[in-house]
Amino acid sequence: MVVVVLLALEADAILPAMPIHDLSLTLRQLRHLSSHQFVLELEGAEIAAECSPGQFVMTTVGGDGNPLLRRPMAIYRILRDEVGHATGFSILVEVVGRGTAMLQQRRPGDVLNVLGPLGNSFQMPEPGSPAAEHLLVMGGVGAAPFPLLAEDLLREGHSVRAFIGARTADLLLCVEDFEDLGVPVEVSTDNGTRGHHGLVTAILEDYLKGRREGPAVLYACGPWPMMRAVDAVAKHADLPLQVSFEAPMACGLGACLSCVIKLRDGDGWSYRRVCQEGPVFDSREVIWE
Amino acid sequence: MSSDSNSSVSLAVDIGSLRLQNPILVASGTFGYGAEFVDLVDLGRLGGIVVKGLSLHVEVGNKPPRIAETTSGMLNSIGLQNVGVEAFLEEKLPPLRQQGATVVANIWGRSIEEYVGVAERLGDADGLAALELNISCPNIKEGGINFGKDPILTERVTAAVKAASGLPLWVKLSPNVTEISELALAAEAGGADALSVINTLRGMTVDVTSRRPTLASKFGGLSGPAIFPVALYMVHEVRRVTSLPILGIGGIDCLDRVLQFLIVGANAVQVGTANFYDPTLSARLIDELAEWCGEAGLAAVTELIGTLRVP
Repeated sequence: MVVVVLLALEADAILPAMPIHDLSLTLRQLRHLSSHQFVLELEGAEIAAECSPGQFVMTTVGGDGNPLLRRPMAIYRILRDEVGHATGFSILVEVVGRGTAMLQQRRPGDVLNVLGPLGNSFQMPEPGSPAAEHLLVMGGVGAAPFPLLAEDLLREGHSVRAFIGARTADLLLCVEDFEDLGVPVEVSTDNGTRGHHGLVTAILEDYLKGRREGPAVLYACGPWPMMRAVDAVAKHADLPLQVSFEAPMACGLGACLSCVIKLRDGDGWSYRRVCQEGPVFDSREVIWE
Repeated sequence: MSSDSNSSVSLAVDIGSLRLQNPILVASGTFGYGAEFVDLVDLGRLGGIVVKGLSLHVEVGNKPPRIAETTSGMLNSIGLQNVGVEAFLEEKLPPLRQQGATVVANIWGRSIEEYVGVAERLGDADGLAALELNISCPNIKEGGINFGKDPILTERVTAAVKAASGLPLWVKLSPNVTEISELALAAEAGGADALSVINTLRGMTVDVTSRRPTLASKFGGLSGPAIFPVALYMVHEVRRVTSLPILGIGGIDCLDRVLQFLIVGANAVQVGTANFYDPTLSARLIDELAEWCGEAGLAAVTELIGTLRVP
């Protein structure tokens, strides 16, 4: 059946690369990172085994239908058993409203309905392409998809460096994840409580100034103004940048058409869905306004 | 599940001349063009798929934010973004047909001519079961009056589309009117073969910090479980004045809501907003409906339709 359909149409128009699962998943563990940041570890080997860095899930938050909609969450880490098989995955959550506050109240053994894996993923370098430096730039909970990306890049033998920004030192995310992976980390905080006092783009720019020539690829995820600033840095340095967006969305499947952003399209522009054509976009295609 | 007794229950319903294998459809704007759900739902099992509203040309849609969550519901103001009728016929309809889906094309326009243009183009197409007319649109040629709020405009646009296409025509009524039964009669007078009841309810919310409307376009359409009692009442009101087939729409999130729609006189239902947060619900409802009918001793679901007991 599927083969027939694929013959009739471009593959990406009808089927995502991997099937989407709608699963009832048991919460294994909830780890608090700060007063309003936490990690949820879920079962869900199917999603864990098939997802790629940058993809996300839509999860219920509890509450039995109120709030109504599931919440989009980037896949953070893959959980593995002692022989390395994927057994589940985790999401990194910051409380920003009622839905995320309810997620924080969940307890091990609770069941969440989770749809995934969804969306595209970060584009990995072509196998055999010349060695490049991969610079991951993140702000706040935008750090969530990057440890997984770093893992894949390191596995392919690439060099990776992380630039992490947050409002205050206690809100910096993923520093230990990168340190455990052996990835050099530079941090900035808005109030100067750790690392550079200022924006994450400042430490990125400093690094690019001092860096020797050679190919590099930038990746960014975080608040819109931060990603826009990284886009300006990337354009100035003439380096490619992949940006991962979040947007309010109802379905995550491409049906509700809520999560659109403006992308260049020929001489004009068109709305594209963050959940379907994204969440990762080539920053040169994004219309920043 | 007691599949032996269920398999003998007939779920087929007739919407005018169109026989549907069961009364569970999915509503326009909540199921894309079907392909979005192909991993999750066997599209060929559904009573029908009403696709995202089609216009003559590509429509870019409204600025985001386009949705806002409300208590047991959501507001949307998508702005009727769609690929346009040509791209639908070339790219979206063929895979739906391959999946064996019963496809209903929801259409809209900003003038009667635009409606007719879409209907003519679709009327020639193979593989469409019916047209559903979205009349909750402003008529830009006549002062921006919403077609669906005016009985005369409703009758005229219905008659014009009916004449332009040989397909069965369903008219989707707006609830944002004083007497929905008047609009139902207007659509019937225009030649509608069935009525879809209801479209979304107008609503808005405000962000108190910025004091701005939550939606970029200020207001939008309310859907979800919150609107179910309103929708059920309106199906009841429409059923009082017409014997046309009715497709009940609004806030279906479980079998009980389906049964209530059927009891007050809907011949079939469309699952809407629930497709967003429970994408496999429509398929599960088909099984649950068969099981319920079997346990209730019904040989056919049609025995339930319009059986409201009023003391």
